[in-house]
Amino acid sequence: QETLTGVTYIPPSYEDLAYGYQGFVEAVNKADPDVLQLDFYDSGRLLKADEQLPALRSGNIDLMFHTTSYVTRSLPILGILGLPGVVEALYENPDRLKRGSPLFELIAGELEKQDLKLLTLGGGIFEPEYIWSTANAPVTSIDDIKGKKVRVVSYEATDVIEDFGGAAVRVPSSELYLALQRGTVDAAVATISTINGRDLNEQTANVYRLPLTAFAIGIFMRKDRYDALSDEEKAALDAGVEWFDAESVKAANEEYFAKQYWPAFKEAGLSEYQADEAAMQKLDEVSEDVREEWIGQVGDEVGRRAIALALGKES
Amino acid sequence: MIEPIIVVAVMLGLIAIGAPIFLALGASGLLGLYMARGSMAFFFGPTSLFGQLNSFELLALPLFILMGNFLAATPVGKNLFHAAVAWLHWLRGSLAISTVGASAVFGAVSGVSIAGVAAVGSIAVPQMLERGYSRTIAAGSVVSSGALAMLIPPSVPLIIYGAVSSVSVADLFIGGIVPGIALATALALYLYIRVRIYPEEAPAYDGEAFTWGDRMRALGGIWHAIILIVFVLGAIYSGIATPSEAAAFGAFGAFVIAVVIFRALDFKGIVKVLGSTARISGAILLIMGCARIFGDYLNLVRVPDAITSALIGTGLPPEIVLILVMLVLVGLGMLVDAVSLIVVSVPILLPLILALGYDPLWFGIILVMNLEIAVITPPVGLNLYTLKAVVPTLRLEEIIRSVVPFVFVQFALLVVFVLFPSISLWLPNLVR
Amino acid sequence: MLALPVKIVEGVGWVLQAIGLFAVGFMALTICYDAMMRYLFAAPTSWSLEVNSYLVVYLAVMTAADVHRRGEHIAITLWPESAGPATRRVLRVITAVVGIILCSILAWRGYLMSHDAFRYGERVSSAFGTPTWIPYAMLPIGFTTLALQFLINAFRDPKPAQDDGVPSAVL
Ligand code: NA
Ligand code: NA
Repeated sequence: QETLTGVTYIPPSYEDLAYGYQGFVEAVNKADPDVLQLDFYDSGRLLKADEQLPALRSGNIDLMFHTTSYVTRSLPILGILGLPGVVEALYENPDRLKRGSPLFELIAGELEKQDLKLLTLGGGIFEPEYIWSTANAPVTSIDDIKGKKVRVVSYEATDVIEDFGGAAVRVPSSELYLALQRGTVDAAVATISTINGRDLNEQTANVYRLPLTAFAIGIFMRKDRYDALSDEEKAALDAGVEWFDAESVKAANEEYFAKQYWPAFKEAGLSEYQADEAAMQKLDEVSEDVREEWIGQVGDEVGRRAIALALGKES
Repeated sequence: MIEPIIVVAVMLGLIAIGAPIFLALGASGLLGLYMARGSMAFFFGPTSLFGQLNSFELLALPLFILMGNFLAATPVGKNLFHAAVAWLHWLRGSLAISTVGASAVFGAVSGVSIAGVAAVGSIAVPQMLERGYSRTIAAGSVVSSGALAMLIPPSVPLIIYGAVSSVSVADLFIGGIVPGIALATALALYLYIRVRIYPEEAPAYDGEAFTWGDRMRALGGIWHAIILIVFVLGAIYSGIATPSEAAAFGAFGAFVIAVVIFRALDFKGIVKVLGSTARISGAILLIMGCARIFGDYLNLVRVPDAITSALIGTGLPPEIVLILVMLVLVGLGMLVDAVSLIVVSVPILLPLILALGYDPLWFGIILVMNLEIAVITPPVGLNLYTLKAVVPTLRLEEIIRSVVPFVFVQFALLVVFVLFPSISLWLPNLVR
Repeated sequence: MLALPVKIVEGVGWVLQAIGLFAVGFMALTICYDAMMRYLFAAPTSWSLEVNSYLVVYLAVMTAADVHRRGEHIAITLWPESAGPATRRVLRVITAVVGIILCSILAWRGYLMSHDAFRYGERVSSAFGTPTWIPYAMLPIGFTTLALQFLINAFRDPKPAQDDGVPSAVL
């Protein structure tokens, strides 16, 4: 019997995200118990988020769940999942990221060049990151971003916020709650999962639904480690991967975000502002640089093909 | 389960022969990882250490040590304690009790307990020793009250618990206030009773009587300290800085007091302060990093899970189970750092707590009260090592011995809050 | 008479901790600067959080050798101090051997971590985007120096720090 050590830094309290990895672990462990088992550690209790990739590279762990936006500058091809101007199309069309789709295969192929095996991207991206602002400094349009201090993590969001005249601020996640409460920052670019998980809804009164960036959660292994598995072991693993590809993002976006979090937040008084056509157009123009920079990182041919596939302009 | 026992024994053995604490924790942790997974697991050494230390929140430690070192070059600490004597000399043990008060105030500035120990300890301990207080009272009052920073908001552990448990951070912060004040009061009360019984531990003031003029003049000597506290608190509460950034404002303010106002440091003196800050912080941080290697070993072989699960299966009455849970948390708190304790134990214990019908908000408060004990109990008790680092004249074994009675006081108070959840819930319920 | 290799190791250790001194000053100044720029002009830096977090690692890892040279690592020294010279020597050697083993493993694995990060061009996914091999490289440098200092200390009691703490090699 083979045992694989797997990790995620996400704690079970993020039910929307934990649903996926817990289901995966369960499916693998019951697929063929005599052949393959997963020894799984959540909550970052074995490795913090930033140390997962080095530990996977060294062979210390066999499998990791990783939020793609955390590693887009190490594994640039994953940047396609968070490109402004592209994420809306990917979010609307999750099939474009399912296993076996041309875009998925393109991404997996690029990662193989870095000796990594991408098993799945969860079957799509999570609902994009929007701008959540406090009652004292509401951001309800693109013009409102000017002069505001906006907490960002990824460089894609940094570029766009700066291009709209806002100040991109880095604040550690443990201090974000206080930073919003006391006006150290006016707003944060985040998914609803983060807002809910860190109770930031207590400190934000407005959400401007401008899809700035997004991410998926993928399952990664080292390529040589994966190739060394027997066919039976791969089949057992595949049982979990199949399930994860079909269910994880779908459940988060539909069962948790749409059915639970959004209604609860609005009930509690959150004001919601949609991005209109003009705003989307402006975002698209401003983020041209971000996309071009990304294409520069992954190579012209791969980059343009990936964007075309994501936008459904090629198949 | 023999391997974890070997690993703990190796760690204790290394500490006993005088090996540096970081070495005892790191080497025994790596040995455990090797026994569990072979040489591959050695890689957890660098990843654990690096991951633990690569943290913006930890900046508060070197920066508050820097603040304390700058202030140590000035008469500010002396003035503060002179004022305490002038106003409180009729109260035996007043300096130790004032130290608890100072830690509580500092608790509103910092969210990390070692920062409190570093800042308060470097000033308070030398002053108490100079005035003839016993070494164990001086050390014990600083080390135990330094942990108040975790209960009194802002609090990093409560934020982490909020993230792990989905309890509102705002409610947790409000919930921390009453236990924080209760703990400060309990420590002060204990000190008061102790010096009544052992008067030689805190000599009565035998100088000249203070006139009201003396008292007012004494207050005039502490305005630097008051401005500094207002400056740092102001930076946090006005939103200029986050709590870890505010430490930099504290260091900067202390620099101005030492160099500009008192002209107590020349260029060479400043270099010396910076150098000792770097080394003291380095020594504490290295222990912290190696504690994480040790903790990762325990996590890899799932020791905390095994112990807590065994507890849940006992089928005893809820109150007994709760007290046992507290004892287990204190035991685990001796071996793992505060953050690990939250992250590992909450997912296992919270379902049990909810099943027993308790409020998760209450459990968060109780858990942080446990951490107050965890940070002062060896071998993984960072407050102890922090005090040793900032006051090198104290012996580590002295410091460890000094906290024993304080641990009992804290545990007694913990039991009260465990058995009467309404005490910790009334304030949050009032506000909710 | 100190042999040349000892002078070199202690000199390197001292230089690393001297840089730590600047790191502390840099932390205090840049964090105040970043917060004020953010508050007054909504123009924070892109690098303060990232660089200063790495400097925390620097303080732990890179000052360690000089701290050990001075015998300032925190320990319970009750037994060695009350023991006779022979026992003390044995305890000192055991500590040194364990220390060398721990530091060698951390230095070696840390080197591999840095090497892999360099080979695969890994970077922090932020606007500043530090190439991660640079901060990781602190591990092999710091722990190699510390391992060598353990070796030196095996043969003598730690040097009581001179007032300015500068080893003779540097003066
Ligand atoms: Na606090
Ligand atoms: Na402890």
